[in-house]
Amino acid sequence: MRLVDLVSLAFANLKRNRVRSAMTLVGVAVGVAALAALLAYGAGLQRTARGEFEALDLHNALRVTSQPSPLGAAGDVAFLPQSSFDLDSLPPPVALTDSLLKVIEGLDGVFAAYPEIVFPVRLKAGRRAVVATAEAVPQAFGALPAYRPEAGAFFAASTDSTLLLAPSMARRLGFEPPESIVGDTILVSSATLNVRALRRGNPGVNFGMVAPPVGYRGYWLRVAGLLPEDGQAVSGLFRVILPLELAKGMRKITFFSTLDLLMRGAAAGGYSAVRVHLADPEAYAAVRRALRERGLYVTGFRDQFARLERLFLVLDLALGIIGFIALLVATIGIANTMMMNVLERTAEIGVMKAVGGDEGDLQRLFLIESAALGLFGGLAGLGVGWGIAALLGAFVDRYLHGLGLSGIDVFYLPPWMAGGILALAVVISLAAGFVPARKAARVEPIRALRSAT
Amino acid sequence: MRSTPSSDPVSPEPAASEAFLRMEGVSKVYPMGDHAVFALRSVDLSVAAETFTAVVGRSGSGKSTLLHLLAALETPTAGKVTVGAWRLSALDRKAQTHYRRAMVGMIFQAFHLVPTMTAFDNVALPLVLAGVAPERRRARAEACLEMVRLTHRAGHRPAELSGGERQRVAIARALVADPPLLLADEPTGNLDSTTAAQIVELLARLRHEHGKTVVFVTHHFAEVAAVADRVVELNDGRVVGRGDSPASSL
Repeated sequence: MRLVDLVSLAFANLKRNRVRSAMTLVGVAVGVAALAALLAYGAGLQRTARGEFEALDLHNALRVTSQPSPLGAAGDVAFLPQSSFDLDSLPPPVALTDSLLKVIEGLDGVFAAYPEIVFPVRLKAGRRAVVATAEAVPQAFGALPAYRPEAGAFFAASTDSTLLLAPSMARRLGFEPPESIVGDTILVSSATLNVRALRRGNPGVNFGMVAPPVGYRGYWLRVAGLLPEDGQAVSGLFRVILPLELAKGMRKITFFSTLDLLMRGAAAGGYSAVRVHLADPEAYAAVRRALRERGLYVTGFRDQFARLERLFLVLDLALGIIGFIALLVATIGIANTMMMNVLERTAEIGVMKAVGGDEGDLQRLFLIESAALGLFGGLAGLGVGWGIAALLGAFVDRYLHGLGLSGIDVFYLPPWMAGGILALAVVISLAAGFVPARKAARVEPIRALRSAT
Repeated sequence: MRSTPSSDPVSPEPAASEAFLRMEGVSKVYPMGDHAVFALRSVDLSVAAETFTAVVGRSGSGKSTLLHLLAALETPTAGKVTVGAWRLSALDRKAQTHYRRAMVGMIFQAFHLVPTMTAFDNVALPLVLAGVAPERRRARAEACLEMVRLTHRAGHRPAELSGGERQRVAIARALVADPPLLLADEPTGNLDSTTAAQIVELLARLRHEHGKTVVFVTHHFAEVAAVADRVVELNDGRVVGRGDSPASSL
């Protein structure tokens, strides 16, 4: 039997029981929509994380400390022996000094090495104030795409009293359009130790109290430019960029200064941590090895992301299993429909055999009917899944825009994934139709004809 | 010359060399729990090509089983069935299908048309199943509908046709692959006497005009007496009578 005739006959048979076929299609569509939406959600999260990671150029970034850090040491924890966290058993820490930074910058493939300066700030423009994280970067970063301003300019000098922020941050400070903030001066306050309060020596004072011995130091900084929102999609809400030398000179309590007090970094002198930015991503392993050979502890953001991706894989797997179960339940509907079709058409199958129908053709006929249910149910399900994803994505975008942030891809269904889901729907539909198709092929024509008379 | 076949069971068989269809010592047994039911017992039968043979007998006499064996829809428990160059008892399932496509047109009492297909599509179905190209099967189906005078009803579904028209569609379907052997299993059983006579007359005409060998199973010998060349009477699975019918001597 010609394939075109088989397909034509299969579609005619499906049309014959329109309601039953439609109900089965709906079942498959729901299963596929669930699978597509869940997988698209996992892929969307992963894509957003990767996009942020890449936009911030973190795959080229390494963090170097003089001692194993209990924070963010994901890249090294598996590498270090357990005794590495016993401070007394470690060799003397290497001081992270400016001269060491120069040595690191001299390694092949290194773009820049600079002290890690990250601290909380409060930004105030007019009557609006927001809290953010200030991060210092060297002047050389002006050449990186992620730091190329979409409005205004990068710092003219590393000592300029300027800052860069994202458009979403400008909106939160009341600037609309956000470009209007460029050139304006805003008040940036950092937290500092209140020496006077400490000197008063109140024995009851500790950092857990409502009024710890801290003060604020304000700096009037000019907004030099706006960084691309894409590079700030998630962190734009929290992050402002300062020139390195300016940040060095500001009075502040950094995130890691307390940690340094508790560990031995302070005793060694130098910076708490150093960031190394690579010019060549291929140099990642070699630079990390060179730094470790110098007795330094290295945390690669790329390693951390690899761990994150493993978590995403687990998440995707879990979501995929849930979706697959939904699809599996739907295909039981196909098996049921096909079995009903075989039972109802037993006499017809008998006639077809009596007038020259081949067992293989009859089996193929029912398999094509199953596959067609899977294919069209799958297409409808992908459409529905895409619709749900688009709707929820629009909701999330609207919510983020309400917060002054740019949108993110909550759902992402790449073509290969959509194709894979469709193929899966067809394959398990074929599997569901196999037993009924085999039953149809094995119908004894005599029995079938007798049953009809 | 006989009015009923059982009145003279000794009329000569065709010589073996002339026989188109031959059954030798054929038995068919159906196991039914602890015991066996003999549908046919040591049947010997020869039918010459391009003849009209009537197989008569009461219900349960084995008529339909005999027809099913000739159609290779069943295999004999014992004995040998030969049609033309085909030895049916030796065929596997695939070969049985090929045999049916090439050699047999079947006509049933209950018509067995596909209800969702038009008369034209029903007629063309065997050619579709055989993988014949659309142009060829269209021409052939139209020709067969013309043979049974139903061209004007080609686009109608079975439910829109009378009993006689349905059976004519079934006959056209049986003819469409141009098989040499037409097996009719009580094709008049669901028809009134006038329509039944028309169907018998149609099959007799097809046999003459197109050189078909017709084996016609019926309860009522009278309805085929005028056209049958030979009559075979079955009772309890045995051939109890055979011979020339009145028509053959006309």
